[in-house]
Amino acid sequence: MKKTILLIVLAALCLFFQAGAQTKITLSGKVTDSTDRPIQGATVKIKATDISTSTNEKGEFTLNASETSGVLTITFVGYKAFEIDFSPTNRGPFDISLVEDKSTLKEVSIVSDGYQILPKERATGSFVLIDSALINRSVGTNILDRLNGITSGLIFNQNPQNPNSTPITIRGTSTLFANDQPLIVLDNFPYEGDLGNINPNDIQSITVLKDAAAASIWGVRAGNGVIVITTKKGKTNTLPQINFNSNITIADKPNLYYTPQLTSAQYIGVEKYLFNQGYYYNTSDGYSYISPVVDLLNENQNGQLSTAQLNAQLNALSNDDVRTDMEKYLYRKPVSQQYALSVAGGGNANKYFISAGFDDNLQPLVTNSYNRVTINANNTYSLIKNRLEWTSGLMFTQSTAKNNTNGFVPSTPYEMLKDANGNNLAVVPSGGGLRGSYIDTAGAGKLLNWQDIPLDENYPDQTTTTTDYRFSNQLSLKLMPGLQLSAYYLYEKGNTDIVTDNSADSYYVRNMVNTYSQIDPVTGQVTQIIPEGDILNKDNNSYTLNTGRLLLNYDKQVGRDQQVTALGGYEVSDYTSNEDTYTFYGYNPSTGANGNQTIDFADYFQQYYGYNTGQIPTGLTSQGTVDRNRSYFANASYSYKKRYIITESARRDESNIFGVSTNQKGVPLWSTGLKWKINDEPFYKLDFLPLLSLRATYGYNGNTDKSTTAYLTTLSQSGAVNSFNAPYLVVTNPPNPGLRWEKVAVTNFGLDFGLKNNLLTGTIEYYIKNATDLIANSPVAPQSGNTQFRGNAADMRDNGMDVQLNLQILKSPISWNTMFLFNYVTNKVTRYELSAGTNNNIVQGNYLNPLVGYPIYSIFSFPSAKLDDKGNPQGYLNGQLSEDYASIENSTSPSNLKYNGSATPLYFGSVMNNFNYKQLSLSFLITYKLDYYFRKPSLNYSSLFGFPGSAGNFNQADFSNRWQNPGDENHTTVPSMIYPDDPARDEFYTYSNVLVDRADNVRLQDVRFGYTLDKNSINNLPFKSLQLYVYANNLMILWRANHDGLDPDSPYSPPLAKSISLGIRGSF
Amino acid sequence: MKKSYITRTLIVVSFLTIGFLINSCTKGFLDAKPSTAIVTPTSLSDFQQLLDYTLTNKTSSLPQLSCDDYYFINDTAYQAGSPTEQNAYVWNKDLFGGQVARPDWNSPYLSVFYANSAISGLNSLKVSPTDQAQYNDILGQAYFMRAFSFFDLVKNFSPVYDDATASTDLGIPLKLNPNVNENEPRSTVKQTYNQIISDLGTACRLLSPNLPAQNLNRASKPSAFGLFARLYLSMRKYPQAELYADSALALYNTLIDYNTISKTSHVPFTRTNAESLFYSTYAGGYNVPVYNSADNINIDTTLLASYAPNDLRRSIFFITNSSTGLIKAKIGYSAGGNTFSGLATDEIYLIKAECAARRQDSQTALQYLNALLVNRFTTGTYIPYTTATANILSTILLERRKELVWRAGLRWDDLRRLNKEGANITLTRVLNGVTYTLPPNSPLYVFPIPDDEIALSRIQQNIR
Repeated sequence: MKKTILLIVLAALCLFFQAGAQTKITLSGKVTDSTDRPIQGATVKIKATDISTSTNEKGEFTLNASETSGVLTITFVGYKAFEIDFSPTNRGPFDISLVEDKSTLKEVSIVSDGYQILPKERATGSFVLIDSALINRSVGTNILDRLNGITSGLIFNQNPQNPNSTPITIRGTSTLFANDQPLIVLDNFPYEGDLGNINPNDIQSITVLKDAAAASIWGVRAGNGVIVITTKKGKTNTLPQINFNSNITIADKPNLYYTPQLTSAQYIGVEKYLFNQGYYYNTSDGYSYISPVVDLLNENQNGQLSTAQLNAQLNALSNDDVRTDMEKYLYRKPVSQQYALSVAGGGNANKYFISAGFDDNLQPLVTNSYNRVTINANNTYSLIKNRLEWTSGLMFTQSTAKNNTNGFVPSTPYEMLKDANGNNLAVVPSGGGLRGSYIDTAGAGKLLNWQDIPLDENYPDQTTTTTDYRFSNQLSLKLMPGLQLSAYYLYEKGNTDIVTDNSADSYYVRNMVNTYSQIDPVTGQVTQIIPEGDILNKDNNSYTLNTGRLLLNYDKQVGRDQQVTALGGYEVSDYTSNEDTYTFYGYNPSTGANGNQTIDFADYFQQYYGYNTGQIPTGLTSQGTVDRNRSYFANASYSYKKRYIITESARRDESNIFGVSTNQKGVPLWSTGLKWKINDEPFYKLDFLPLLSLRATYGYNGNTDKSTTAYLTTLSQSGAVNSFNAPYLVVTNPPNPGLRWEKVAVTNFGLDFGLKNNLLTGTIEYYIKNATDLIANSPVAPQSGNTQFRGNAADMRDNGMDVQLNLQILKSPISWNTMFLFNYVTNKVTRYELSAGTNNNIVQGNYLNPLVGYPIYSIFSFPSAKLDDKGNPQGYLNGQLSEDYASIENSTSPSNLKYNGSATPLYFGSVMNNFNYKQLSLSFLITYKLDYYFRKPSLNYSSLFGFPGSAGNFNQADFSNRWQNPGDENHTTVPSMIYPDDPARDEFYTYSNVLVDRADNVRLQDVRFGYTLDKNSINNLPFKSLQLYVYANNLMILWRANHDGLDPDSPYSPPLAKSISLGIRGSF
Repeated sequence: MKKSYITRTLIVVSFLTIGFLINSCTKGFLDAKPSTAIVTPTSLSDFQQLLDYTLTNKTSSLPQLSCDDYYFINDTAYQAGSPTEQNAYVWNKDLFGGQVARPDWNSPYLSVFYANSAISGLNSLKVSPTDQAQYNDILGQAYFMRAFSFFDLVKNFSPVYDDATASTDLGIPLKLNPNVNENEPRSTVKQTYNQIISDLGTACRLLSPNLPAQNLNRASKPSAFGLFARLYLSMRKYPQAELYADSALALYNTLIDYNTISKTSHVPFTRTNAESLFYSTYAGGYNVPVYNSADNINIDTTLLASYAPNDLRRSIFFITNSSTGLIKAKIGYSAGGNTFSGLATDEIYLIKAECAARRQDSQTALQYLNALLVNRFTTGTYIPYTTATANILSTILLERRKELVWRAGLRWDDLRRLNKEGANITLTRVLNGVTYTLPPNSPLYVFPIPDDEIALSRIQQNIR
């Protein structure tokens, strides 16, 4: 209270001095919310005039009135407007407490860019805010997943073509090979750890920064957008408030029947066909992989098995389906439990927040599980009469994941895991496995059992333990009014240990021991090169981050109409990471002893089967990385009459990029922005539209790919040696003296509006991103000694629109709000210096071989006519019907290709409806993605046949629809099965036009139902409030453009399973 | 919490923060290497490691696929081959059947790129007098690698060297710098050979005269002389070939007595065996040319029959599969993995013998031939050839074929060369009742350049 009194005295003094200078009167006061928290940025206006101001960070305001009496209006988004009369005798200081307007969707109007918290009214850039209510609407272990469908301009799973791509894209793609991940900022600092380590229950709000302003604030790493995560804090002068949240989620087993496959009978048919053609010729060595059926056919051919016996066995096998056993023994319904508890509060000069969380997830595979403990504490002290503020925070996370590395992958559809009597069965492992008839007799009893019995080893053998600490400190000193100096220091350390213990009786160890067992042909003596015991693999990853920042803030009201805010700072970070791996042979888990010293790692040993020799891998590697950055930045904003706002920002980033001279290490970034609050203009008279403003920003982002450097760069693989045991270097980067930073110019226009009584509020933004000098990969002629090259070879342009509308359809007794998101984004490659490669390169990996004028993620295909009368697909080569598949694929004329469309949705968004009636709430989210294309899975004979010596892939669609008899070409597009197989024909069909379909879909993403009890409804409730909720996720596809029942976002593997959560949340 | 405690903690934290900020202002802060794994080669040992890369010095398998050392045992066996294997077997005009990224073309050019990277890096390196010898040796290895790779390319993708047409015949693109952005057009055969001779000459001047004890993937003076001998032999410049064979043997002439080699072992030789001068292997990508390859081929039976009963090579060079009865090449001088295509003293003895025979010096020719063969027969059973032997040259050529079987595709290179000499050897294959023939000096002796190279650099294709 002392503080408040002091403020009032100060305000009164100001008043006294100013009153002397003018005849008009000066009004002052302080605006707070219902918990006495100051509201910054509230608009204070003298009714029927254009005189207005907004409150400062302490919620205080002063205002010069032109009349001696009138009405003062105080408004702030999310709160009910407040009016108070003033007169020469009643001119303040007013103590105004705004009441939250529960009927508006909780649009938070304070945005945090990670450096500073500023009222949305003063922001010129493009921001999306997700408050804690919206974050807590969904249930899950990971924080980022919760942004799905509720964040304008942000889309998940955007680039399915590119395996290296990250799951999140903000406003399209503006880089090819540089980092395409948005920057994650957690409480003032970029977060380097695994996002899985953050407890979503600790998060107060998330701000997503989308335009150039973001990069000039956060630097090069912000070119793909910034996600600023702010954790919960305590409040001064409040009693301890305890919150808890607990829920349990149950999902379906993954649908193994979603992925198409040949039936056992069909697959056996294919194997018989190939056998009769002599396909397994190359496997007559007696040991290399053949499937059980081929083994039987072999025995029949050699006269060891009668044809009647063979047919009986094949019949039995054709009734088996491995998926029934996999469902029964390997999968379960995953169950996740989450518990969170927090205490927040504060005294006179301090505030605190402490929380603990526990997650326990049982994953769909019965062997796999994950659990996580999080502890988060922060505390703020005010010292030296509130001139110095000290905040310190500690975050601790420990998680343990258990997995089975010997996960079973069936190599045939008839490979069962248990026999009729319930005994576990041996399988024939594909890649590198040995055939059943060989291992049954190999070694004549002198070797270890060589069978692989998956159900005998259906337990987790790998434990991944992750421990993360984050310790932060912030000191802020008020040097003089309006000027504040802050110093920040962050220390983060993380450690991930992956321990794989292959027990002595595991197939892995038995196979390894047998492979290198030497049997003396004369004495029959067995020598085991690998000692008895477990084989333990350890992989230790650790990282340390040190970051410091000095920041000078200046905030000054100049005269009546002008306000200047500025900040300048210097920031450094030093991130180091290390990875060490070890392998212990003959490991004894109870004593920790190992037998490595008995192994000769240098020699080549004859393998038991075949004629190969091999070395025993040492498993020893060690490597590390260092990432250092140094930045200088400044940021200023000037506002005139609270209606015209100009923002400027600039930043220079330097980092330890390898092989680049110092002047190229840094890149300057800048942005500028304007805002015009039209509704504050004196001429503005539109009563029905009380909120109307225009914004624009322009600026430069940059990006770089640290793996691409100007000089010849080589990689030394730890422990790798050539045939003569000498270490060697591999060239990873051919020299490129002209290498430059990537640059992205971003323009953003925004319109914010709000109808009277918040019936409809919204934001419409239009943006253009012009990316130049992008680092691109391109095929180069093999004579260069390389097949690909990276350089600044491409330009790209994205433009699009983000629309967010909030509608209040009903207010009472039932309230109904709708949030509507609509996003449009197009992408076009505008320059690409290097040749795009062959048409085959283009259809198979367009993002690596972009074509000018088309999106970077495009679906191209080979145009095709109907099958010929022998079931061969027909394509076009230079306008003529052709079956010369190799020439069609190697053609370098893109005019021979068909452009189907973008592989990423041009339009996407969501509609979320919220209903409230008394204690009940219901909310559901519908998401849509429109105008994009995907390739349907079909039949590829090369893949189905596999290579002799390894299993074919029986996961093929359309086998029963294939061309079989003349005339079939009139009703099928699936080519006939031919022998020998023609890989070019298969590739042609796989990438032909007939397999491309529209991917558009609309889904019911989730539904949430809540029942809230509070003291208003039940008097003797032991809680302040208590909510019971049910949340169902990944519910259903309401509409899809394809007619094959495929989920276009997951055409080749089972889509995310439906889940349902039950939870309770309360506070007291 | 006590105020004094807070104050003390605060002071500590402030010092930590300020200390870190000051430390980061130092000049070296941004010079830290971003990864322990990344190296910009600057030291001699870096360049040595660059040249020691496992994928350098690889040679084409196409000559092995196309030559008459083996046959597919029947049509089914033939169908099990890859498109290139099938096409090479019957000398189809379309060799690759749509297959791209062929190691036969790409691997030698990868070596050229590594060699060029090392040469340009070493040229801008300041050397101290104490390091000069090592510097020379490494630079010599780089020039050797480029020559070795260019030679492998030109003998496969260009016509046989002929003084009369060399300045118009199409050679190979001569990439002489590591710049990836520039494509070279095809040179002439003459320009290509001139470049190889120049590189190899430079290598000979720079390389160490001693054969490495361990790292046989590194060239030395004996191996550079050996390559010169192989090169001039292929150019049919026999006097030069003989001179370089002499030079090589003067530095190193050890032969292995095959009586000391196991006849039953699957891996009879070590990788550092006494005859290897330089280690290289086929670039891979095919099943047929590997040692003890897939069960669809057999070694040419006439060739097998040419080994005398007491000739140890029959059991050391070949292996019979106990279940199929098929006979294939056993693991040779590379001691595992891919097939040996490097240089060994036995080849140099045979070059010396052939060249001597061609200048009618039977005495010398037989001296070298017998010196080799006495090590190939069971001790005490070898009956040396004498000047009474009819047609010494064809005896040497037959022994050359028997000794150098399944090595570096030398049989194919000899077919090209000998037909140019007028040997008039026609190859035939019979498959499913159809007979395929390859007439002498056919344009089919020149392999086509892979489609991806043509598409990306638009260089001229060979007409077959």
